[in-house]
Amino acid sequence: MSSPVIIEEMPYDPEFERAFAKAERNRTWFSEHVKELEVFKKYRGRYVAAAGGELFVADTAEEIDRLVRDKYPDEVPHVRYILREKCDRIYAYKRRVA
Amino acid sequence: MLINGEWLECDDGVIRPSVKGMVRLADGRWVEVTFLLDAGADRTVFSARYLHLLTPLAMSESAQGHLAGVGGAVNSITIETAIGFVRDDARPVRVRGSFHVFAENESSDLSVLGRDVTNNFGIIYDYPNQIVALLSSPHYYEIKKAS
Repeated sequence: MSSPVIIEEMPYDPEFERAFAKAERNRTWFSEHVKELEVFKKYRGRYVAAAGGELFVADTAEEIDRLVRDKYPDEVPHVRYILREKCDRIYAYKRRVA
Repeated sequence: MLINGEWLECDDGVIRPSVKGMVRLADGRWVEVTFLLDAGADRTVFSARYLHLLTPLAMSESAQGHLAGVGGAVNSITIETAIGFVRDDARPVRVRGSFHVFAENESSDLSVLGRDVTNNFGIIYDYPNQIVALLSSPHYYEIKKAS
């Protein structure tokens, strides 16, 4: 059993707020363009990122971060991995009973 | 304290409860995380998308572990870091502790906010009213019956 988490209410942090706002902007852009760009159809099994008003696509998380960082080093991208197959997701514990 | 979440459309068209957060890397940078709110998850786990970013924060060489779910056991590492959320008054909340990171892409497309964090809050998942919220004092909820 791990130690409990520590929750702290922090004072105003301009750096955190800037990062959060950049992430929010990119997340919103992604939501607004995901259907028109057919992201969930075209890029299954791949990583996609929204940053600077653009969509980036890569095969690995390292590559997607590098692509975004090379073009927009100050951005906080919204990154998603698109699962290879569509299926219902259930969070349950599978264990052997016999 | 009130942290607002949202109902997020996922790649399969299903709408799931989520909370926007950030995670702090070893170099102090904050990176965006979208958490799935999962009442069934014992622990908070980052998706494999963060593995290369969070590995420097692994607690020890023996930080590898297993997490169990419907597909069986999957590999993970354990890290120590801080997660950041934004309250309704725009001020940050920091959650420090040890968390897991999936080691395999197909384990989960989203990071999962587990009860290690959410047990500190009253959680509202209200799909008909499109509300997802984490509440702690002085915020609270009441259940009433319409007359």
